[in-house]
Formats: sequence, C-alpha cells, structure tokens
Amino acid sequence: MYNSFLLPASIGLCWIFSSESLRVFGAGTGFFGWYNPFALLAIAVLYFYSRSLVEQASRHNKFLSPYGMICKRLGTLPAMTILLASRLSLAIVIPMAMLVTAGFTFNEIFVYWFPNFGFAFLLLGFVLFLHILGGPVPHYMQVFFAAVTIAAILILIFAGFAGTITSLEGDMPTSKISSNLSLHHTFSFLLLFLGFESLSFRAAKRGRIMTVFGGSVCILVLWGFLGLFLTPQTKLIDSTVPYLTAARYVLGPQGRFLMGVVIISACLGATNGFFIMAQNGLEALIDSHRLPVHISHRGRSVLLAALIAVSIGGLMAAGTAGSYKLEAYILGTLLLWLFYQKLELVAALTQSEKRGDKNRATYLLAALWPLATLWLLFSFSDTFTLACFIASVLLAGFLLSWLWYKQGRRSTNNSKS
Amino acid sequence: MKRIYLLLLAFTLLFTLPLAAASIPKMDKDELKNQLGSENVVVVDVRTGRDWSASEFKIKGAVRVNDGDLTALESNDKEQTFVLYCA
Repeated sequence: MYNSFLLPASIGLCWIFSSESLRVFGAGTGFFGWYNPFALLAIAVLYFYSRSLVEQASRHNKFLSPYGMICKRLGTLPAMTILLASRLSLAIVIPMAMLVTAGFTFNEIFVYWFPNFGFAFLLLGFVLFLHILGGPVPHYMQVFFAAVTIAAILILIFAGFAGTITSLEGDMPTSKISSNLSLHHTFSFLLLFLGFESLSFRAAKRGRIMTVFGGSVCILVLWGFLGLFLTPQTKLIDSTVPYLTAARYVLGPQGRFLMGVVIISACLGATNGFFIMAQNGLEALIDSHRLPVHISHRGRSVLLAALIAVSIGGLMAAGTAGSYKLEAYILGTLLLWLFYQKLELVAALTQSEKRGDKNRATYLLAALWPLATLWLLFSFSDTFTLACFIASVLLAGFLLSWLWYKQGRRSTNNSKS
Repeated sequence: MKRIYLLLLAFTLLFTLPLAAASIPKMDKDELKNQLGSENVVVVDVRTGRDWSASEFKIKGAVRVNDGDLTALESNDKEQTFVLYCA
C-alpha cells in the first residue's frame, strides 16, 4: 500500500496539521498578517515545482528513485548517511515532541485528571501496537488518522466562517492588523511540507497530487484568514499554542475541543507515518545495497518500530520534553530533512544537465534550499546546540552506514569467493 | 571500607534531603487563587521546554524563569512570597 496514493498523502496531511506545523503557521500568521497566505502560497509553489523536477529526473532515468540519484551524485556512503540520519531522527525526535504536546492537549481539553505524560505514553504504545499487528493495519490506520484530522479542521473552519458571517451585523474585529515581512518565517513554511515528498507521480496522477497538496495549503490559508480575522494579532504572536488560542476565538469551547481532536489525531498519524517512513527508508537501503539482514521483512518492521518506540519512551522518561534544548533538536531534525530534499533536487538537476536540459530558474530554485537551511540555522537562538545536534546525528548516521556497508561488502565478497 | 562509608553517606543523604525539602511550605490551588493579584505574592513559572510551551494555561502575571535563570527576579523585594509553579 505504500506505493499507492493514499498512504503518502495521509502522512503529509497529518504533518501539515500537526501541532508543530500549526505552531509555526500560527506564529507566521501573527507576524505576517495579510502577507501570510501569499508567503505560504509562494513557498508551496516553489516546493511543488522542485518535487516535479525530481520526479521528472527520475522518469528520465528509468524511474531511478531520488535516493538512487543521490547515490549516483555523491556516492553510496554519503547518501546512506544522510538518509539514515534524517529518517531515524525524524522518527524519534519529532514524535516525542508531538506526543508530549498531545498529552498536554488531552489533559487540558478533555480529561483534566488524566496525567499528560500518561496519555503521551498511551499514544506511543498504541502506535507500536499497530506496527506489531503489522500488515496493512498501520497503513489503513494512517489513512483513518488523516481523515479524522481533515474532518475536524474542516468542521472548525466552516463553523467558524458560518459564525463570523452571522455575527457580522454586530461585532467586527477592531484590532488593527499589521503585516510584516520575515525571511525566517517564510523559510519556516518550507518545513510544513514534510511527508509530501513520498507522493510519487508514478503511483498517482499529477492532478490528484496537486489536489491533495493544493487542498491542504488552501485549508491552511483558510484557517489563517479565520484566525487572523477573529484573533487579536498580538495573541497569536505571544502564544506558544497559537492554534488553540485561535480555535478559542473562532468557536469558543467547541473550537478548542475540535482543535484538540485535530492535534491528537494528527499526532497519531504523523508518528505512525514517520515510523512507516523509517521502515521504508531502511528497506530501500537493504534492497539497494544488498545489505545483510537475517531477519524476515515482518520481523524487521516490528523490531525497528520497537526500537524507535523504546527510544522515544526513553527520551520522554528522561525528561527531554522539559529540556530547553528540545526546540534545537526539533529544528535540527527538520533541517536534516530539508537538507535531504536539497540533495534530491541537486541530484535531479545534475541528471537534467547531463541531458542538456539547462534552465536558469531551476538553478535559482536550487540555491533557495541551502539559503533557507543556513538562514534557519543561524537565525535560531541557540545555533551552537543546533549545529552540535546536526553534527552528532550525521556522525551517528555515518558510523551506522559505514559498519553496515562494510559488512555488506564483506558478505558479497565471501559469497563470490 | 571506603565503599561502606560511601554507601552510608548515600543512605544518609537519601533520608535527610527529603526532610530538608519538606521544610519548604506548599500552597494548594485554592490558596493561591485567593492570593492572586496580591502585591506580596510573586508567582514564578518554573516549567521548562515543552512542559511550558505545550501548555495552554499560563497564570496571568506569572514571572517565567527559564532554565534556572533568576535574573528576572532580582528587582523583587526579598520579603515577598515567591510561589514556584511547575504544573
């Protein structure tokens, strides 16, 4: 089912409406004001165009995967390193942050006496249970989580707009909305599209992909407009949970309830989705390089899911959620993903050049990625911790890749002799 | 012999430190609610990381202390009652 359209689409949908993305978007809305939808649309168009270039290059290379193109460009070991580093950190760090947030959301909106970390562990256990069941179960549940997320946010938006229209005779928002430009917030919007890179033009028609991608961006823009219209702008900027602040202004207690459903279902979907992405990344490495793994496919999936779950649980139990360095770890993980996207684009453009297909606009696009990565890196308040984290994860990825690849080559040489 | 002394010290600390901590008075939420707004009470929000940022509820007027940095409280009168809030 992974190669079908629904599964990769649902991973992207759960991430773009997750607490992490809504926080970035909410802060951007508060800062950008009326520029917000234009900034988001501009970044979305650039992102979609870059993915189209990668898919086009893949098609011209007998459907070589983006990872395969990176291997051709950089070599196997660097490609393995960055893939492992980005996928494994994505599966561990981001779900931990989202699970903790979901725990607080459940405690503060639904059941105040239920311990927030207890709920976070419950969600983690549930995702692990899905992967122990294996087969199509995590995939079907992934689509279910995305459906619940989209339904809840659409109900919130439509109910919010309906309420706004009926109350237009009376109260109008009186606070002045200021619009500012910020490269930091603009580049941050690139991080909202995590998961959509799994959408392949081979598995689905371009129109369907555009509908899902464009539809999710439109929903986000509508949410932004609604929030901006009804929520004091300073509240959005100052709040650490702007999505809940906006939901409260949009629809009162019911708005908070619906947003709570969005946060929890998106958390489940994104966590489950990152587990699936990590498993598929691993399978791609094993298949591409014929790496020695003496466990069955199902055994590998369960073992990896268990290892990731134990890592997440261990980090939560160790109090990482309360660490001031957590935001650096989250941004570092997302920058590794962004860096991997950049490598895919560069590999694709290299293939295009070899075909004699040169386009200045694509070079400008290729320059945007490293600029965005460096800007987000250096504009962060604790660049040193962020850089150390990225370096540590890359080093760990390199060591793992080197050991594995070396063992793989030894096994291949032994079998030849 | 050295190991025995270290173990004895560890056990002593294990049982005496909680006694020292018990001397710091606690305030329940109703008591705090009655005193909110009073000039003599300073609520200090000591939650860190996601414990603070993921929570929707922040006490109005609370002073945020991030990662043990108490410089925000330097100007306060030491005779005031400081209520440390962590959950």
